[in-house]
Amino acid sequence: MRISVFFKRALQDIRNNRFLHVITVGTIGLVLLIWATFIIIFANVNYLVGSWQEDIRIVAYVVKGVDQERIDLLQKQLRGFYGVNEVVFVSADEALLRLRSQMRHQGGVLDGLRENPLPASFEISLNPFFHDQKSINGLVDRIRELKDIPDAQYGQAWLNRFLVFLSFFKMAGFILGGLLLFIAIFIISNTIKLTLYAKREELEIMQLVGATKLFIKIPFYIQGLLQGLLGGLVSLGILYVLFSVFVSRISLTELPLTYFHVRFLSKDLMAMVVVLGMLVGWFGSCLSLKKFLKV
Amino acid sequence: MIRTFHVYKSYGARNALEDISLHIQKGEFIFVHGPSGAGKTTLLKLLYLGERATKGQILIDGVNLQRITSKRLPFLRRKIGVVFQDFKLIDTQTVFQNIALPLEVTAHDKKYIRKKVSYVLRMVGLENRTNSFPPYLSGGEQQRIAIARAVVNEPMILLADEPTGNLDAGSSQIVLNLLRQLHIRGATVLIATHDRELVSQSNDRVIFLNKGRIKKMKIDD
Repeated sequence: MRISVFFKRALQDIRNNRFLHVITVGTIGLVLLIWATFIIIFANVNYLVGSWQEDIRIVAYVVKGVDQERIDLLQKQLRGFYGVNEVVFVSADEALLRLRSQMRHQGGVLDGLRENPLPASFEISLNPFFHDQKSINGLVDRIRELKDIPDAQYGQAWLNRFLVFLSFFKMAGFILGGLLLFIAIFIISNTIKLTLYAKREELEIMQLVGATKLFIKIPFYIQGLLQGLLGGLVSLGILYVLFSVFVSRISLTELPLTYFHVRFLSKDLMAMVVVLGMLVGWFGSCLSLKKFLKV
Repeated sequence: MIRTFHVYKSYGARNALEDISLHIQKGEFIFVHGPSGAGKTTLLKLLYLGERATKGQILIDGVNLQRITSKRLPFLRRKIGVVFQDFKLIDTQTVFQNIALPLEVTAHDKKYIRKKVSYVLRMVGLENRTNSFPPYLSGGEQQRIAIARAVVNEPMILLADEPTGNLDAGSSQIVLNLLRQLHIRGATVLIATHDRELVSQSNDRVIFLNKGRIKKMKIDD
Protein backbone atom coordinates (compact mmCIF):
# COMPACT_ATOMS: atom_id res chain seq x y z
CA MET A 1 0.00 0.00 0.00
CA ARG A 2 1.16 3.54 -0.72
CA ILE A 3 2.37 5.31 2.40
CA SER A 4 1.46 8.72 0.90
CA VAL A 5 -2.24 7.75 1.02
CA PHE A 6 -1.96 7.12 4.75
CA PHE A 7 -0.07 10.36 5.37
CA LYS A 8 -2.64 12.27 3.34
CA ARG A 9 -5.46 10.75 5.38
CA ALA A 10 -3.66 11.38 8.68
CA LEU A 11 -2.91 15.03 7.81
CA GLN A 12 -6.42 15.62 6.50
CA ASP A 13 -7.81 14.29 9.76
CA ILE A 14 -5.48 16.53 11.78
CA ARG A 15 -6.69 19.52 9.75
CA ASN A 16 -10.34 18.58 10.32
CA ASN A 17 -9.87 18.13 14.08
CA ARG A 18 -7.30 20.82 14.79
CA PHE A 19 -8.47 21.66 18.28
CA LEU A 20 -8.37 18.05 19.52
CA HIS A 21 -4.92 17.56 18.04
CA VAL A 22 -3.56 20.76 19.57
CA ILE A 23 -4.78 19.56 22.98
CA THR A 24 -3.10 16.19 22.47
CA VAL A 25 0.19 17.71 21.32
CA GLY A 26 0.02 20.13 24.29
CA THR A 27 -0.55 17.27 26.74
CA ILE A 28 2.33 15.23 25.38
CA GLY A 29 4.50 18.35 25.32
CA LEU A 30 3.71 19.16 28.95
CA VAL A 31 4.37 15.63 30.18
CA LEU A 32 7.61 15.42 28.24
CA LEU A 33 8.65 18.84 29.53
CA ILE A 34 8.34 17.56 33.10
CA TRP A 35 10.18 14.40 32.11
CA ALA A 36 12.93 16.29 30.33
CA THR A 37 13.31 18.64 33.32
CA PHE A 38 13.90 15.64 35.56
CA ILE A 39 16.34 14.19 33.05
CA ILE A 40 18.29 17.44 32.77
CA ILE A 41 18.56 17.65 36.59
CA PHE A 42 19.63 13.98 36.83
CA ALA A 43 22.15 14.36 34.05
CA ASN A 44 23.74 17.45 35.60
CA VAL A 45 23.74 16.09 39.14
CA ASN A 46 25.25 12.83 37.90
CA TYR A 47 27.88 14.79 36.05
CA LEU A 48 28.56 16.85 39.18
CA VAL A 49 28.81 13.77 41.40
CA GLY A 50 31.03 12.12 38.81
CA SER A 51 33.40 15.07 38.81
CA TRP A 52 33.41 15.12 42.61
CA GLN A 53 34.16 11.45 42.71
CA GLU A 54 36.98 11.91 40.20
CA ASP A 55 38.43 14.64 42.42
CA ILE A 56 38.15 12.65 45.63
CA ARG A 57 41.32 12.88 47.66
CA ILE A 58 42.02 11.08 50.83
CA VAL A 59 43.84 13.13 53.43
CA ALA A 60 45.95 10.99 55.79
CA TYR A 61 47.18 12.91 58.85
CA VAL A 62 50.60 12.22 60.29
CA VAL A 63 51.46 12.39 64.00
CA LYS A 64 53.77 15.16 65.12
CA GLY A 65 57.50 14.67 65.35
CA VAL A 66 57.91 12.00 62.65
CA ASP A 67 61.26 12.18 60.91
CA GLN A 68 61.90 12.46 57.19
CA GLU A 69 62.95 8.84 56.83
CA ARG A 70 59.65 7.65 58.28
CA ILE A 71 57.74 10.09 56.04
CA ASP A 72 59.49 8.70 52.96
CA LEU A 73 58.68 5.18 54.06
CA LEU A 74 54.99 6.02 54.64
CA GLN A 75 54.80 7.74 51.25
CA LYS A 76 56.24 4.63 49.62
CA GLN A 77 53.78 2.39 51.46
CA LEU A 78 50.83 4.59 50.48
CA ARG A 79 51.91 4.60 46.82
CA GLY A 80 51.92 0.81 46.96
CA PHE A 81 48.20 0.59 47.82
CA TYR A 82 45.88 -0.53 45.04
CA GLY A 83 43.92 2.35 43.53
CA VAL A 84 46.31 5.07 44.64
CA ASN A 85 47.49 7.37 41.88
CA GLU A 86 49.56 10.08 43.54
CA VAL A 87 50.71 10.78 47.08
CA VAL A 88 51.82 14.29 48.00
CA PHE A 89 53.27 15.14 51.41
CA VAL A 90 52.04 18.41 52.91
CA SER A 91 54.11 19.51 55.86
CA ALA A 92 52.54 21.28 58.85
CA ASP A 93 54.11 24.59 57.77
CA GLU A 94 52.82 24.23 54.23
CA ALA A 95 49.34 23.42 55.57
CA LEU A 96 49.36 26.58 57.66
CA LEU A 97 50.54 28.59 54.68
CA ARG A 98 47.65 27.29 52.59
CA LEU A 99 45.19 28.09 55.37
CA ARG A 100 46.53 31.63 55.64
CA SER A 101 46.15 32.08 51.89
CA GLN A 102 42.55 30.76 51.98
CA MET A 103 41.69 33.02 54.92
CA ARG A 104 43.44 36.11 53.64
CA HIS A 105 40.17 38.08 53.72
CA GLN A 106 39.65 37.24 57.36
CA GLY A 107 42.75 39.26 58.21
CA GLY A 108 44.54 38.51 61.42
CA VAL A 109 42.58 35.49 62.68
CA LEU A 110 45.66 33.31 62.47
CA ASP A 111 48.13 36.02 63.57
CA GLY A 112 47.92 35.28 67.24
CA LEU A 113 49.01 31.68 66.91
CA ARG A 114 52.20 30.88 68.79
CA GLU A 115 52.41 27.36 67.57
CA ASN A 116 51.24 25.69 64.35
CA PRO A 117 48.15 23.64 65.31
CA LEU A 118 47.90 21.84 61.99
CA PRO A 119 49.29 18.35 61.48
CA ALA A 120 51.34 17.27 58.47
CA SER A 121 49.45 15.12 56.03
CA PHE A 122 49.51 13.08 52.84
CA GLU A 123 47.13 14.05 50.04
CA ILE A 124 46.28 10.89 48.19
CA SER A 125 44.62 11.09 44.76
CA LEU A 126 43.00 8.00 43.30
CA ASN A 127 43.04 6.24 39.96
CA PRO A 128 40.11 7.16 37.66
CA PHE A 129 38.66 3.64 37.85
CA PHE A 130 38.81 3.58 41.65
CA HIS A 131 35.71 5.51 42.65
CA ASP A 132 33.18 3.23 44.16
CA GLN A 133 32.22 3.76 47.74
CA LYS A 134 33.17 0.33 48.99
CA SER A 135 36.70 0.35 47.58
CA ILE A 136 37.39 3.84 48.90
CA ASN A 137 36.16 2.87 52.38
CA GLY A 138 38.40 -0.21 52.30
CA LEU A 139 41.41 1.87 51.28
CA VAL A 140 40.74 4.44 54.02
CA ASP A 141 40.53 1.64 56.61
CA ARG A 142 43.86 0.23 55.47
CA ILE A 143 45.51 3.65 55.60
CA ARG A 144 44.19 4.17 59.13
CA GLU A 145 45.86 0.93 60.18
CA LEU A 146 49.30 2.34 59.30
CA LYS A 147 51.50 3.34 62.20
CA ASP A 148 51.92 7.12 62.70
CA ILE A 149 48.70 7.80 60.77
CA PRO A 150 46.00 8.44 63.35
CA ASP A 151 43.26 9.36 60.90
CA ALA A 152 42.35 9.51 57.23
CA GLN A 153 39.31 11.31 55.75
CA TYR A 154 37.69 12.00 52.44
CA GLY A 155 34.43 13.72 53.32
CA GLN A 156 32.44 10.53 52.82
CA ALA A 157 29.65 11.35 55.24
CA TRP A 158 28.15 14.24 53.28
CA LEU A 159 28.76 12.54 49.96
CA ASN A 160 26.92 9.45 51.24
CA ARG A 161 24.05 11.61 52.42
CA PHE A 162 23.96 13.30 49.07
CA LEU A 163 23.94 9.98 47.21
CA VAL A 164 21.04 8.73 49.36
CA PHE A 165 19.15 11.92 48.60
CA LEU A 166 19.95 11.51 44.93
CA SER A 167 18.64 7.94 44.77
CA PHE A 168 15.45 9.06 46.55
CA PHE A 169 15.09 11.88 44.06
CA LYS A 170 15.59 9.43 41.19
CA MET A 171 12.96 7.07 42.55
CA ALA A 172 10.46 9.91 43.01
CA GLY A 173 11.23 11.01 39.47
CA PHE A 174 10.56 7.55 38.07
CA ILE A 175 7.27 7.21 39.95
CA LEU A 176 6.08 10.67 38.96
CA GLY A 177 7.29 10.16 35.39
CA GLY A 178 5.48 6.83 35.13
CA LEU A 179 2.26 8.39 36.42
CA LEU A 180 2.55 11.27 33.99
CA LEU A 181 3.12 8.92 31.07
CA PHE A 182 0.07 6.93 32.09
CA ILE A 183 -2.01 10.11 32.19
CA ALA A 184 -0.67 11.20 28.81
CA ILE A 185 -1.51 7.84 27.22
CA PHE A 186 -5.00 8.01 28.74
CA ILE A 187 -5.62 11.50 27.38
CA ILE A 188 -4.27 10.65 23.94
CA SER A 189 -6.33 7.49 23.65
CA ASN A 190 -9.43 9.45 24.64
CA THR A 191 -8.74 12.22 22.16
CA ILE A 192 -8.36 9.66 19.41
CA LYS A 193 -11.54 7.97 20.59
CA LEU A 194 -13.35 11.30 20.18
CA THR A 195 -11.98 11.57 16.64
CA LEU A 196 -13.01 8.00 15.94
CA TYR A 197 -16.47 8.66 17.30
CA ALA A 198 -16.84 11.69 15.05
CA LYS A 199 -15.72 9.58 12.11
CA ARG A 200 -17.68 6.43 12.89
CA GLU A 201 -19.82 6.66 9.74
CA GLU A 202 -16.78 7.19 7.59
CA LEU A 203 -15.07 4.19 9.21
CA GLU A 204 -18.18 2.08 8.58
CA ILE A 205 -18.23 3.14 4.92
CA MET A 206 -14.53 2.33 4.60
CA GLN A 207 -15.13 -1.15 5.96
CA LEU A 208 -18.09 -1.66 3.64
CA VAL A 209 -16.07 -0.81 0.54
CA GLY A 210 -13.46 -3.38 1.54
CA ALA A 211 -10.89 -1.51 3.64
CA THR A 212 -8.88 -3.79 5.91
CA LYS A 213 -8.55 -2.89 9.57
CA LEU A 214 -4.89 -2.08 8.99
CA PHE A 215 -5.82 0.38 6.23
CA ILE A 216 -8.11 2.15 8.69
CA LYS A 217 -5.63 2.01 11.56
CA ILE A 218 -2.42 3.18 9.87
CA PRO A 219 -3.44 6.88 9.52
CA PHE A 220 -4.27 6.89 13.25
CA TYR A 221 -0.88 5.38 14.08
CA ILE A 222 0.72 8.09 11.95
CA GLN A 223 -1.32 10.73 13.80
CA GLY A 224 -0.14 9.34 17.16
CA LEU A 225 3.49 9.32 16.04
CA LEU A 226 3.23 12.85 14.63
CA GLN A 227 1.58 14.12 17.80
CA GLY A 228 4.37 12.53 19.85
CA LEU A 229 7.04 14.02 17.58
CA LEU A 230 5.52 17.49 17.79
CA GLY A 231 4.98 17.14 21.56
CA GLY A 232 8.63 16.14 21.97
CA LEU A 233 9.91 19.07 19.90
CA VAL A 234 7.64 21.52 21.72
CA SER A 235 8.85 20.27 25.12
CA LEU A 236 12.50 20.52 24.07
CA GLY A 237 11.92 24.04 22.74
CA ILE A 238 10.30 25.22 25.97
CA LEU A 239 12.95 23.46 28.05
CA TYR A 240 15.71 25.16 26.08
CA VAL A 241 14.19 28.58 26.69
CA LEU A 242 13.78 27.87 30.43
CA PHE A 243 17.32 26.47 30.58
CA SER A 244 18.79 29.55 28.90
CA VAL A 245 16.98 31.83 31.37
CA PHE A 246 18.21 29.70 34.30
CA VAL A 247 21.82 29.68 33.09
CA SER A 248 21.83 33.45 32.51
CA ARG A 249 20.43 33.97 36.04
CA ILE A 250 22.94 31.75 37.84
CA SER A 251 25.84 33.29 35.97
CA LEU A 252 24.84 36.61 37.55
CA THR A 253 24.95 35.18 41.08
CA GLU A 254 27.90 34.24 43.28
CA LEU A 255 26.58 30.74 43.86
CA PRO A 256 29.17 27.97 43.99
CA LEU A 257 27.26 26.47 41.03
CA THR A 258 29.21 28.82 38.81
CA TYR A 259 32.25 26.53 39.23
CA PHE A 260 30.24 23.87 37.48
CA HIS A 261 29.26 24.11 33.86
CA VAL A 262 25.49 23.36 33.67
CA ARG A 263 24.73 21.39 30.55
CA PHE A 264 21.64 21.06 28.36
CA LEU A 265 20.47 17.60 27.32
CA SER A 266 22.89 15.69 25.11
CA LYS A 267 21.80 14.78 21.55
CA ASP A 268 21.08 11.23 22.70
CA LEU A 269 18.84 12.40 25.54
CA MET A 270 17.02 14.84 23.26
CA ALA A 271 16.42 12.01 20.80
CA MET A 272 15.21 9.89 23.71
CA VAL A 273 12.65 12.54 24.72
CA VAL A 274 11.32 12.75 21.16
CA VAL A 275 11.22 8.96 20.74
CA LEU A 276 9.46 8.65 24.10
CA GLY A 277 6.85 11.15 22.88
CA MET A 278 6.34 9.19 19.67
CA LEU A 279 5.97 5.95 21.62
CA VAL A 280 3.42 7.55 23.94
CA GLY A 281 1.46 8.87 20.93
CA TRP A 282 1.57 5.55 19.14
CA PHE A 283 0.59 3.57 22.23
CA GLY A 284 -2.32 5.96 22.86
CA SER A 285 -3.56 5.33 19.30
CA CYS A 286 -3.21 1.55 19.64
CA LEU A 287 -5.23 1.56 22.85
CA SER A 288 -8.17 3.51 21.45
CA LEU A 289 -8.24 1.67 18.11
CA LYS A 290 -8.21 -1.68 19.84
CA LYS A 291 -11.30 -0.74 21.81
CA PHE A 292 -13.07 1.12 19.00
CA LEU A 293 -12.61 -1.32 16.12
CA LYS A 294 -13.76 -4.22 18.27
CA VAL A 295 -17.32 -3.15 17.47
CA MET B 1 -23.18 -16.68 -7.69
CA ILE B 2 -25.44 -16.17 -4.65
CA ARG B 3 -27.12 -19.02 -2.74
CA THR B 4 -28.95 -18.89 0.54
CA PHE B 5 -30.18 -21.95 2.45
CA HIS B 6 -32.95 -21.58 5.03
CA VAL B 7 -31.67 -18.24 6.26
CA TYR B 8 -33.15 -16.61 9.37
CA LYS B 9 -32.39 -13.25 10.90
CA SER B 10 -33.81 -12.35 14.30
CA TYR B 11 -33.65 -9.20 16.40
CA GLY B 12 -34.57 -10.43 19.86
CA ALA B 13 -37.83 -12.36 19.57
CA ARG B 14 -38.76 -10.79 16.23
CA ASN B 15 -37.83 -12.56 13.00
CA ALA B 16 -36.83 -10.06 10.30
CA LEU B 17 -36.22 -12.90 7.84
CA GLU B 18 -37.55 -16.46 7.92
CA ASP B 19 -36.47 -19.46 5.93
CA ILE B 20 -35.02 -17.61 2.93
CA SER B 21 -33.64 -19.95 0.27
CA LEU B 22 -32.48 -18.40 -2.99
CA HIS B 23 -30.34 -19.18 -5.97
CA ILE B 24 -29.20 -16.22 -8.03
CA GLN B 25 -27.22 -16.99 -11.17
CA LYS B 26 -24.18 -15.10 -12.37
CA GLY B 27 -25.21 -12.17 -14.58
CA GLU B 28 -28.83 -12.05 -13.41
CA PHE B 29 -30.79 -8.82 -12.96
CA ILE B 30 -33.19 -9.37 -10.13
CA PHE B 31 -35.62 -7.37 -8.01
CA VAL B 32 -36.45 -7.99 -4.36
CA HIS B 33 -39.85 -6.41 -3.90
CA GLY B 34 -42.11 -5.94 -0.90
CA PRO B 35 -43.64 -3.35 1.38
CA SER B 36 -41.67 -1.43 4.01
CA GLY B 37 -40.55 -3.74 6.81
CA ALA B 38 -40.70 -6.83 4.58
CA GLY B 39 -37.01 -7.58 5.18
CA LYS B 40 -35.49 -6.36 1.88
CA THR B 41 -32.79 -4.23 3.48
CA THR B 42 -32.04 -6.98 6.01
CA LEU B 43 -31.54 -9.48 3.19
CA LEU B 44 -29.10 -7.14 1.45
CA LYS B 45 -27.27 -6.53 4.74
CA LEU B 46 -26.76 -10.26 5.14
CA LEU B 47 -25.39 -10.48 1.60
CA TYR B 48 -22.77 -7.75 2.06
CA LEU B 49 -22.14 -8.92 5.63
CA GLY B 50 -23.30 -5.75 7.27
CA GLU B 51 -24.83 -8.28 9.64
CA ARG B 52 -24.60 -12.03 10.10
CA ALA B 53 -27.54 -14.42 9.68
CA THR B 54 -28.96 -15.94 12.86
CA LYS B 55 -29.43 -19.30 11.19
CA GLY B 56 -28.83 -20.84 7.78
CA GLN B 57 -26.05 -20.61 5.21
CA ILE B 58 -25.18 -17.99 2.60
CA LEU B 59 -22.72 -18.68 -0.22
CA ILE B 60 -21.30 -15.91 -2.38
CA ASP B 61 -18.99 -16.92 -5.20
CA GLY B 62 -18.38 -20.17 -3.31
CA VAL B 63 -17.53 -18.47 0.02
CA ASN B 64 -19.63 -19.38 3.02
CA LEU B 65 -20.44 -16.12 4.78
CA GLN B 66 -21.19 -17.83 8.06
CA ARG B 67 -17.63 -19.11 8.26
CA ILE B 68 -15.68 -16.21 6.78
CA THR B 69 -12.98 -14.78 9.05
CA SER B 70 -12.80 -11.05 9.77
CA LYS B 71 -9.44 -11.03 7.94
CA ARG B 72 -10.93 -12.32 4.69
CA LEU B 73 -14.08 -10.24 4.93
CA PRO B 74 -12.66 -7.04 3.30
CA PHE B 75 -11.53 -9.07 0.28
CA LEU B 76 -15.03 -10.49 -0.21
CA ARG B 77 -16.56 -7.03 0.14
CA ARG B 78 -14.39 -5.80 -2.71
CA LYS B 79 -16.32 -8.16 -4.98
CA ILE B 80 -19.62 -6.59 -3.95
CA GLY B 81 -20.68 -3.05 -4.76
CA VAL B 82 -23.42 -1.63 -2.58
CA VAL B 83 -25.71 1.32 -3.26
CA PHE B 84 -27.24 2.26 0.06
CA GLN B 85 -30.69 3.69 0.54
CA ASP B 86 -29.22 6.64 2.45
CA PHE B 87 -26.27 6.84 -0.02
CA LYS B 88 -23.65 6.69 2.78
CA LEU B 89 -21.39 9.31 1.22
CA ILE B 90 -18.68 10.95 3.30
CA ASP B 91 -19.78 14.57 3.63
CA THR B 92 -16.32 15.93 4.44
CA GLN B 93 -14.80 14.46 1.29
CA THR B 94 -15.23 15.58 -2.31
CA VAL B 95 -17.10 13.58 -4.92
CA PHE B 96 -13.73 12.50 -6.32
CA GLN B 97 -12.48 11.31 -2.91
CA ASN B 98 -15.72 9.45 -2.21
CA ILE B 99 -15.57 7.55 -5.47
CA ALA B 100 -11.82 6.93 -5.19
CA LEU B 101 -12.16 5.26 -1.78
CA PRO B 102 -12.75 1.65 -2.99
CA LEU B 103 -9.71 2.01 -5.28
CA GLU B 104 -7.52 3.46 -2.55
CA VAL B 105 -8.23 0.55 -0.23
CA THR B 106 -7.10 -1.80 -2.97
CA ALA B 107 -3.84 0.13 -3.34
CA HIS B 108 -4.22 1.30 -6.93
CA ASP B 109 -1.85 4.03 -8.05
CA LYS B 110 -2.83 7.68 -8.31
CA LYS B 111 -2.90 7.80 -12.10
CA TYR B 112 -5.17 4.78 -12.41
CA ILE B 113 -7.49 6.12 -9.71
CA ARG B 114 -7.78 9.50 -11.47
CA LYS B 115 -8.53 7.85 -14.79
CA LYS B 116 -11.06 5.41 -13.37
CA VAL B 117 -12.91 7.99 -11.28
CA SER B 118 -13.18 10.34 -14.28
CA TYR B 119 -14.54 7.47 -16.34
CA VAL B 120 -17.31 6.52 -13.88
CA LEU B 121 -18.16 10.18 -13.32
CA ARG B 122 -18.69 10.54 -17.07
CA MET B 123 -20.75 7.36 -17.01
CA VAL B 124 -23.10 8.76 -14.36
CA GLY B 125 -23.07 12.16 -16.06
CA LEU B 126 -21.52 14.11 -13.20
CA GLU B 127 -18.03 14.88 -14.48
CA ASN B 128 -18.58 18.57 -13.67
CA ARG B 129 -19.11 17.74 -9.95
CA THR B 130 -15.67 16.25 -9.24
CA ASN B 131 -14.72 18.72 -6.53
CA SER B 132 -18.16 19.25 -4.98
CA PHE B 133 -19.05 17.99 -1.54
CA PRO B 134 -22.07 15.64 -1.19
CA PRO B 135 -24.24 17.98 0.92
CA TYR B 136 -24.24 20.44 -2.00
CA LEU B 137 -25.66 17.90 -4.45
CA SER B 138 -29.30 17.02 -5.16
CA GLY B 139 -30.74 13.64 -4.06
CA GLY B 140 -30.53 12.27 -7.60
CA GLU B 141 -26.91 13.42 -7.95
CA GLN B 142 -25.97 11.86 -4.62
CA GLN B 143 -27.59 8.60 -5.71
CA ARG B 144 -25.56 8.61 -8.92
CA ILE B 145 -22.37 9.30 -6.96
CA ALA B 146 -23.24 6.35 -4.70
CA ILE B 147 -23.65 4.17 -7.82
CA ALA B 148 -20.35 5.45 -9.21
CA ARG B 149 -18.60 4.50 -5.97
CA ALA B 150 -20.25 1.07 -5.95
CA VAL B 151 -19.09 0.22 -9.47
CA VAL B 152 -15.70 1.94 -9.69
CA ASN B 153 -13.77 -1.23 -8.83
CA GLU B 154 -15.91 -3.35 -11.16
CA PRO B 155 -17.55 -5.65 -8.61
CA MET B 156 -19.04 -9.01 -9.59
CA ILE B 157 -22.20 -8.27 -7.65
CA LEU B 158 -24.08 -5.00 -7.29
CA LEU B 159 -26.60 -4.66 -4.49
CA ALA B 160 -28.84 -1.59 -4.60
CA ASP B 161 -31.19 -0.75 -1.74
CA GLU B 162 -34.12 1.40 -2.93
CA PRO B 163 -31.95 3.12 -5.53
CA THR B 164 -34.91 5.15 -6.82
CA GLY B 165 -36.64 5.54 -3.47
CA ASN B 166 -36.19 9.30 -3.03
CA LEU B 167 -35.99 10.33 -6.64
CA ASP B 168 -38.37 11.92 -9.13
CA ALA B 169 -39.41 9.98 -12.21
CA GLY B 170 -36.67 11.45 -14.43
CA SER B 171 -33.86 10.74 -11.97
CA SER B 172 -35.24 7.25 -11.30
CA GLN B 173 -35.04 6.42 -14.99
CA ILE B 174 -31.44 7.64 -15.21
CA VAL B 175 -30.45 5.53 -12.21
CA LEU B 176 -32.24 2.45 -13.52
CA ASN B 177 -30.58 2.82 -16.91
CA LEU B 178 -27.20 3.01 -15.19
CA LEU B 179 -27.87 -0.21 -13.33
CA ARG B 180 -28.97 -1.85 -16.61
CA GLN B 181 -25.69 -0.74 -18.25
CA LEU B 182 -23.69 -2.33 -15.45
CA HIS B 183 -25.67 -5.52 -15.84
CA ILE B 184 -24.91 -5.59 -19.57
CA ARG B 185 -21.22 -5.34 -18.67
CA GLY B 186 -21.50 -8.56 -16.71
CA ALA B 187 -22.40 -7.65 -13.13
CA THR B 188 -25.01 -9.58 -11.18
CA VAL B 189 -27.48 -6.90 -10.06
CA LEU B 190 -29.89 -7.24 -7.16
CA ILE B 191 -32.25 -4.33 -6.50
CA ALA B 192 -34.40 -4.05 -3.39
CA THR B 193 -37.41 -1.83 -4.00
CA HIS B 194 -40.94 -1.19 -2.80
CA ASP B 195 -41.79 0.58 -6.09
CA ARG B 196 -44.48 -1.62 -7.68
CA GLU B 197 -44.39 0.30 -10.96
CA LEU B 198 -40.66 -0.25 -11.34
CA VAL B 199 -41.09 -3.99 -10.89
CA SER B 200 -44.17 -4.35 -13.09
CA GLN B 201 -42.43 -2.64 -16.03
CA SER B 202 -39.62 -5.17 -15.96
CA ASN B 203 -39.34 -8.66 -17.41
CA ASP B 204 -36.71 -9.69 -14.87
CA ARG B 205 -37.06 -12.12 -12.02
CA VAL B 206 -38.73 -10.66 -8.94
CA ILE B 207 -38.62 -12.05 -5.42
CA PHE B 208 -41.63 -10.93 -3.40
CA LEU B 209 -40.95 -10.57 0.31
CA ASN B 210 -43.55 -10.01 3.00
CA LYS B 211 -43.06 -10.10 6.77
CA GLY B 212 -39.62 -11.64 6.32
CA ARG B 213 -40.78 -14.55 4.10
CA ILE B 214 -40.63 -15.17 0.36
CA LYS B 215 -44.20 -15.08 -0.86
CA LYS B 216 -43.68 -15.81 -4.53
CA MET B 217 -41.28 -15.39 -7.39
CA LYS B 218 -42.05 -13.93 -10.78
CA ILE B 219 -40.30 -16.12 -13.38
CA ASP B 220 -39.27 -19.25 -11.59
CA ASP B 221 -35.83 -20.14 -10.31
